[in-house]
Amino acid sequence: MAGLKDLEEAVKSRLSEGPVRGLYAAMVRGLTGRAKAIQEITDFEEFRSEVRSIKEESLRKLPQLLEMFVRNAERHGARIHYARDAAEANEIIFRIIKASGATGLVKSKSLTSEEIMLNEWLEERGLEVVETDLGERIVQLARERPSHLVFPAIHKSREEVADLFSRESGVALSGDIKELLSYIRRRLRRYFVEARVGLNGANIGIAEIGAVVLETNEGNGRLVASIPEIQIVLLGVEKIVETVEEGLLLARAHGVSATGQRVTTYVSVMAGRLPLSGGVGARELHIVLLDNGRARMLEDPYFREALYCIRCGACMNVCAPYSVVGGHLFGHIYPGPIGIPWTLAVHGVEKALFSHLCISCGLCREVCPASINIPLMISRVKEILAERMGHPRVNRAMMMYERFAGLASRTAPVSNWALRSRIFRYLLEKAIGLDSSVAIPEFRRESFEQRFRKMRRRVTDPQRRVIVFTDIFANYSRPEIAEALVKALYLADIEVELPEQLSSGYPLVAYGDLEGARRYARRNLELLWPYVSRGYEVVSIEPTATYTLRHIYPYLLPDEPRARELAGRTREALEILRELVDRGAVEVRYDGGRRLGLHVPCHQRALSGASNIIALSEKAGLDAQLVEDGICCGMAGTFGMKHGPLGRELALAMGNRLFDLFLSSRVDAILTESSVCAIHLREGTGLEVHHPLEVLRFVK
Amino acid sequence: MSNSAAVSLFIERFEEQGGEVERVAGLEEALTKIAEEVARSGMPLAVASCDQRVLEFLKRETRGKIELIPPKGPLNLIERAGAGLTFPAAGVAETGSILEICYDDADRLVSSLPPIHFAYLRSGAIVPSLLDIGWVIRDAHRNAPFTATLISGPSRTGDIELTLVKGVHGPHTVKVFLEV
Repeated sequence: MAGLKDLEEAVKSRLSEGPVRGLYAAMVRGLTGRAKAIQEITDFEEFRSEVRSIKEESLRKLPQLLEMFVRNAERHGARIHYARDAAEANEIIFRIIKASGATGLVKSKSLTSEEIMLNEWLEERGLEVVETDLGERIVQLARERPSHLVFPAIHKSREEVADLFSRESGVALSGDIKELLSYIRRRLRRYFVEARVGLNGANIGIAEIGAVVLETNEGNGRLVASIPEIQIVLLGVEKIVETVEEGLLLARAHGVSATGQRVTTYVSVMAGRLPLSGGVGARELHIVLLDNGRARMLEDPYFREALYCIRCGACMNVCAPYSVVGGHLFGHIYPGPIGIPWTLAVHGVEKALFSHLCISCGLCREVCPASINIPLMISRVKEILAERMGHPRVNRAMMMYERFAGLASRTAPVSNWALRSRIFRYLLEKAIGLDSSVAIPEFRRESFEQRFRKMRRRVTDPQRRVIVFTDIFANYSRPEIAEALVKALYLADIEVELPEQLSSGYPLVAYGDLEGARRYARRNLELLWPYVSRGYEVVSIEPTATYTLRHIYPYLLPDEPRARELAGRTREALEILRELVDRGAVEVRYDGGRRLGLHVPCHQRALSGASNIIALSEKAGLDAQLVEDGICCGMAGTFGMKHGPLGRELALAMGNRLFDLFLSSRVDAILTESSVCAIHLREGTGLEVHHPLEVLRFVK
Repeated sequence: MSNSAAVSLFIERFEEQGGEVERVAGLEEALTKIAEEVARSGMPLAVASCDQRVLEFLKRETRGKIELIPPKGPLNLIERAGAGLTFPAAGVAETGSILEICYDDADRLVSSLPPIHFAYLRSGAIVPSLLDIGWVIRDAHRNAPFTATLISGPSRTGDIELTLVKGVHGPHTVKVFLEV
């Protein structure tokens, strides 16, 4: 597959250099700031849904809003320019500057201008472009690209910055940050005061008053927009909303999600161009409305949601592979998770190859202020790449996991012996790319499906009726987990059935075979529906499977109301057990006396998080401590089982921080509901890792 | 939320964001204090558009002590100012912000260019939530073109090694004299 080798090499090289300087700290700051800021919002989920519906509604009526925006902006004297693509936008801006007689311009931070590679275009034509945001200025002087949306130069040390500024000024500057700031303030002040043209992006456009909203922390944006005679605003059309209140709400969402601020320090709502010092000179405002693929995105059932993005960067703050390889590798121009669909849409599929770095942990959706289904869009990007170039061999193998697990169970213990054989594992690694050093759990010849036939019993006058969704691990490798669940359910007089079922099919979603995943969804729906339609609840053991039934199937089968009903009736195993304990139907005990560290799998964060296990631990007298940094452990299903830098090597690099956290927390063992996280944590920490149903005991 | 609760919240949040708040009994007390503060630095004070009587009072207070740059002064003078004085239209408790409405960019520069920004705000102009300023903006729009700017503390950056530094291209100090 052309290009994938290069990506692998780049990742390998990046991993050999160690973590990207400052990046993890920036991500953690973003995440903790956000966590603190959302505490002040009465109902944050309601807030997110308001943000989402503003974007949904605005895009639904975009043609009318565009017309309203243009009409009102023109009334205030703005000149409107439409740009179909990057080249047109660049040319329009170039002509405005040339017509003014200026030889350059000052800019405040504008990701959209980077999308169209405006600086390069203007510089090639002899104009001087001066970035005025500090981070942007640093990367401009270094001739690099931003590595983070909010902190573009986070990868640069103060010494490197001092070196860049010293070279620019010809005066040796120390690495003292205040001295560097003082230099940049003095240096750029001349540009601000003397510039004839200023260009800024805009975070929002407000149609009802024909205004643009500009958010900055440093104050450079205010100077760019107020001093130069000519102001150019580059505005992606997707940023237009109808009302002032909608604009204000988005500004609030942006501050909270980007940096944990209540709002950005300066939020300027600018309608038309103002005079300066009472003058009546020709102060112009040009608004360049950019399409550049957005109209196409709007029509696309998958990528339409990418237009909901408010560019807060929260998704990259929670992205494990991004934290390790950085925005230069995990991005083309738009970095991070949301950068993947945007890259495909505006820069072409060949530039979106970095989507193979996405491990499909799904956390980007959980932190997105507009609840954008970024993971599914990324799966679609992978699918499009596969349509062009085929799936990588190892991904094809991983998508056949169900067949492999079934075969391994039927042939156990021979399969287990083979999986322990170094020669066999070596050959398997060469043949399909399954890393030879990953500890694959043993398979049982007698699956849970077979065991259930023996333990199934009739419950007279059942309190509830449930079906168990086992997925792979609890069926083929650790049937005791499913057995413990069923026994507890029987104690509470709950009727339990185990209908024929496939596994959830999530690996197909993760590797970009959405059509294949849809087949899994349809088949499972057919198999489970006879029960669901009769009022059975679905109790799912593996968090990823629960997540798939609840959040992915309705998305894969949008025209299938039964999928939504199945989602609504799907429960987590511990969720239902907690309910039984709470209402006294069963009691929970823990006899171990050890201190256990809790690990929350990523997909569980979209479900109950750690609330059920914490509640059950408290009731059982289990000393459990949540150990986490809010980012994926790196295993991400079968991703960490793949050989090479786009698998195990990256997975271990992602996991290192969490491994250290567990080791320094001095817990005796780890508790997690995810079978694959368990493999990774066991290997990374050397600690025992258990499923809660292996350590908690339920009694009547 | 009562106005007094909104005022308390505004002060708490504005200060948390690095801004300063001093309570005053009225406009004259605020202007006297501002005049004293700028007199100590000896730097010019730029003033944003305001009532003529305010300007007259300030002129008297600062005469012979410092240079006063009147509203809509030229860029080169505002740039030399050591402090700027503005008169926000509102305060927002939820976000700890002041809201400036400008019809001339010189007014915007008064709170952008000098290293110190003073603002005089009446506590009655503080609203509880961000969305409450929607009407203020709409009102300003009747006289468009206009710019409305929410200011939530001093200008700042964390771009170098995430070290938070106040005062980049905008003021390093923002002090609100709050009439209570």
